[in-house]
Amino acid sequence: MADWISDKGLQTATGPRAAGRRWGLVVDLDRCTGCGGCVIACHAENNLALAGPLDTDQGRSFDWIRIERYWDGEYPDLKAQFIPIMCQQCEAAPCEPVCPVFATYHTAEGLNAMVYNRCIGTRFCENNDPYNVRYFNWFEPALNWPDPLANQLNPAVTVRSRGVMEKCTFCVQRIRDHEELARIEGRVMKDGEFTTACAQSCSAKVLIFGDLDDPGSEVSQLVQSDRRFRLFESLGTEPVVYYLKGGQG
Amino acid sequence: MDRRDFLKLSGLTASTLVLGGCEDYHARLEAYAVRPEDMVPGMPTYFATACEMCPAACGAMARVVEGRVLKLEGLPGHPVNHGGLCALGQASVQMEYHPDRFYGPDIRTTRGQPSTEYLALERTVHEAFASTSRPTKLIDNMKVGVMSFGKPDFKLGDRKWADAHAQTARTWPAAISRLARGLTSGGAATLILVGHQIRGHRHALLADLATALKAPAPVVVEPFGDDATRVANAAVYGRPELPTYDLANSELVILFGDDLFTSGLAPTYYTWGYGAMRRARPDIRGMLVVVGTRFGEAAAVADAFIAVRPGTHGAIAQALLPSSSGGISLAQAATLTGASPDQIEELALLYRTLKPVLAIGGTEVAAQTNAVPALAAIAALNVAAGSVNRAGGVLAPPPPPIADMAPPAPASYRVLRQWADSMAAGAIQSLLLVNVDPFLAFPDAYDLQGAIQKVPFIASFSTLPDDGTAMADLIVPDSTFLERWGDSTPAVGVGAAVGNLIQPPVDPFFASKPVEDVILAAAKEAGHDLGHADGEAYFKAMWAKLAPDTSVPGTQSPWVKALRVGGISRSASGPDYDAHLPILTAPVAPAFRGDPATRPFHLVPVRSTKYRNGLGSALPWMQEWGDPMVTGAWGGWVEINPKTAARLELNPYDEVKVESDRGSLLLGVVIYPGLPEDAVAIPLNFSRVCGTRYDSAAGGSVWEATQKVDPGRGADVRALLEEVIEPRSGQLAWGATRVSVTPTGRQVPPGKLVLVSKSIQAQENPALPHVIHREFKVWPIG
Ligand code: SF4
Ligand code: SF4
Ligand code: SF4
Repeated sequence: MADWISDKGLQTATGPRAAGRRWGLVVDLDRCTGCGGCVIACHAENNLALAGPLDTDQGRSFDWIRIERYWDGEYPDLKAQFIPIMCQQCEAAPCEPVCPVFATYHTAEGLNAMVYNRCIGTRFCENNDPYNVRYFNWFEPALNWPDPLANQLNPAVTVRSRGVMEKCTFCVQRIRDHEELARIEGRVMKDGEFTTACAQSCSAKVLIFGDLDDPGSEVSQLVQSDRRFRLFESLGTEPVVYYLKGGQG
Repeated sequence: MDRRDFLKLSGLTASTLVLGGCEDYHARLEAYAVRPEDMVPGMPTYFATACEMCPAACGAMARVVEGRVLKLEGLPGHPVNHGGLCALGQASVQMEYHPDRFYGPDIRTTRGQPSTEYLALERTVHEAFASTSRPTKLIDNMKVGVMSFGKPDFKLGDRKWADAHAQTARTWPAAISRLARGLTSGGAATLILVGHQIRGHRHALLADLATALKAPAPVVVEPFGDDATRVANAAVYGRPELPTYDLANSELVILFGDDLFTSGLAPTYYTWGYGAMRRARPDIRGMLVVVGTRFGEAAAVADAFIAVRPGTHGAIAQALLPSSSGGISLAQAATLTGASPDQIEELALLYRTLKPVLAIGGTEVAAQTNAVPALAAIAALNVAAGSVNRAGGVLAPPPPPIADMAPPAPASYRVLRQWADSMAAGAIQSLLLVNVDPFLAFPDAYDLQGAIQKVPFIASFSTLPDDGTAMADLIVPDSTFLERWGDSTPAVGVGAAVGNLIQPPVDPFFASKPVEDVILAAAKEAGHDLGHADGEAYFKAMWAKLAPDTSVPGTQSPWVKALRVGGISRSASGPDYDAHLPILTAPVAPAFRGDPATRPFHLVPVRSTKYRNGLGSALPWMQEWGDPMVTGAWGGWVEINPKTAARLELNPYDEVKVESDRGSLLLGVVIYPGLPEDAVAIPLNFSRVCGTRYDSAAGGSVWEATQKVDPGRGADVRALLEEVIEPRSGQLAWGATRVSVTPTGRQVPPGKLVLVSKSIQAQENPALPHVIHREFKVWPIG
């Protein structure tokens, strides 16, 4: 989060393109079995709190990535389709300009970032988010990590407390780790040298993460596919999550 | 410092500081000036190991930061999971820090009652947590604004924590002596029931113990036996083992009964295979057709779904076979199954034209009274299509790298029941429940509690509370797979010979001990020296059987190499199957219990992606995650077809009484489009009576029992099941029960039916997901 000052003023609707890197995610729907490995991987990596049955029932549980399913038809002529949905890290993110305290903003490498300790919980961003991927935290953390469960928390990721908005970060801590590693080793980061927690756990290789501005990266190759589409393309939000549609073709 | 010392040190934050007067406590002071080898504050260390949450045996890397294991990742390139990990594997770290984990051994004087010493210990531990203890400190340090841990703060709480640890450590010798006496009194009448984590050389050690006692060999208990599949495989492929299904190279996969990718025996392997089948080959996109009753996860990703009446899957397979081997006509198959003749014909065309084709029978088929003939007909499709011993088809699994590591076959329900009858008859003197809750494998219709009650001595090795453990006289909790040694081979063929070596990335968080350490010590005390000092020495000796690779000078020993890479594997397949096309009789009709007039619905118990073989239900993330089809969380529900619901005037969240001739359950209604009108489905959520706070009605440790009663837990489909046995294999036919559904006129109490997304309940609601849905409808699905 250290770069928020230098990025100040860059949070325009079209987003900055300065860092020479533009992170993106490709989701090949033709490979996904809906197994949910990615969902729990994200919980484990990013310290997602437990809500418990009553609060889950109230819609207060967290899934920075979730598997949606869409039904069509009636039994027995039925179809369904899974689609993993996470923050689309839109280049023209409608959630960003409405934050009165700049808690959510666009970074130079195209991430839709959250500065948790600036967030005052107005939830305007959630209201303006067409993808429903922002989650309001209703909980004091200690209550939701019964002892000694808190020992599993990942020290590289902030534990959010009540009153802040949270969402998929494209596992920014992993990006930072590897940037640092490359810097120490005096080299440039290689495509595929790390990936997000969800992509790492997916046995089916549905999720591919990488730099869209690197013409040699796997994501750059995959987004050439004529199976590609983006969610709510018509809204002009310019997501950097590209889906490859399922089925033949 | 050797690695073992490092492990002890790195376990420091997971144990604690030694304070005066606790000489027998094994942790020690860490001098700030001396940094343990491999430990850089804030930097993760990865240990190659394997996941033990299910029989799949995925390779894993444990991420350890400053003595705490934080996350499990898939081991890149591992032949089972190819770098991925399933939801249950990802949640496994919650076993390690489970709030209801046994703190240490408990020698009970009254069965079912924790000892006063254990209760005192529990109190001490909780006081340690409640005071300025580390877990709360962890959160304070990590909250908003502070990006990393401070130095762990050893204050009052940790003193209590250390006291508790020391106190527990002191009870181990007495617990081992108690076990030794139990082994002596049991002798040849000792019954050893084991769960899936007792495999590889852990299983071999228990077999050695049984031999020393002249007792029967350990009996493997799995809630879903695969006996019918094994019997059918033996009849068709010539050998009973579970083969390699080479999905990745197949052009057409026909899946009968729906659950392979998400809750089968090796979900990661099959999910990987599915992804590769679809998109790993530049010019080929493999097709998937699902034949089933309930439209589940695999049907959702299939190109076509052929709906059949419960238990009639085999007839579709027979319609594709030549009449010389018992094939039937398409019209006949359509009449028997209720499927449309056009769909069957289309499938027959695909089956004839696409090669290689792979037919797989799933648990929906195996759950019926005609499981063996149906599974044999499905296996015969592979023989008739020339898919046996062929890439993209069915391959023989190679033998494991070390001979006695072969995965043990679970006992059939019939065999389990015979053992239970022996217990009831008073023929068993000592019962060892080794990482297994036998109640998960029995319908409530069988009085297992009454049978077990007759055994004079019961010891449980479970890490978490469960119903079997609640009946034990002695609890000697096993360490988790992140704290002990072990080895494993996959339960199903994966196209390679795989031997995983499981190593302990951290010390036990509480005062648990690995099964093998306890067994070796107790057996020795009982006069049966099994020849090894402890678990580590035992596994080293077993792996020394592997010949070192002398072809390359300076190569490390197999043990050292396996520690580094997580085990050994070589691509291989077993000796080819000697398959032959069976001559099938006319399709065998499934039998159901319950009068259709009074019990109008087939009960479809669903093997759940969330709860899997039972371990999932104890972990809060697995409970809270909405399952892929229904988005159901926290416990169970009943799925009802929309038209049936309309007829019964049922709305979502209404409470109904689902009743069989055996028992009844009160459940919340989910209106589910993926079922026929005359069937209802209930996930197998493996609720327990005396489990953890997350999976039982009165659950959790006794200390907190009063605070944790939750109306959502405790309702399990096992209460409804008839005890029907598939005659050819002895497997429990858990799909053979008919039920009635009666509205109670109430809605379920809050928290009893929890759906993460309400969208499936309100298709007409113009909320966001449906907007997306409209956009998706233009997809060329299938
Ligand atoms: S892990 Fe992969 S296959 Fe499983 S639900 Fe997530 S994206 Fe789909
Ligand atoms: S990219 Fe990281 S934060 Fe985003 S959904 Fe995946 S695991 Fe979660
Ligand atoms: S499939 Fe089984 S062994 Fe593999 S990660 Fe999941 S629970 Fe662990």
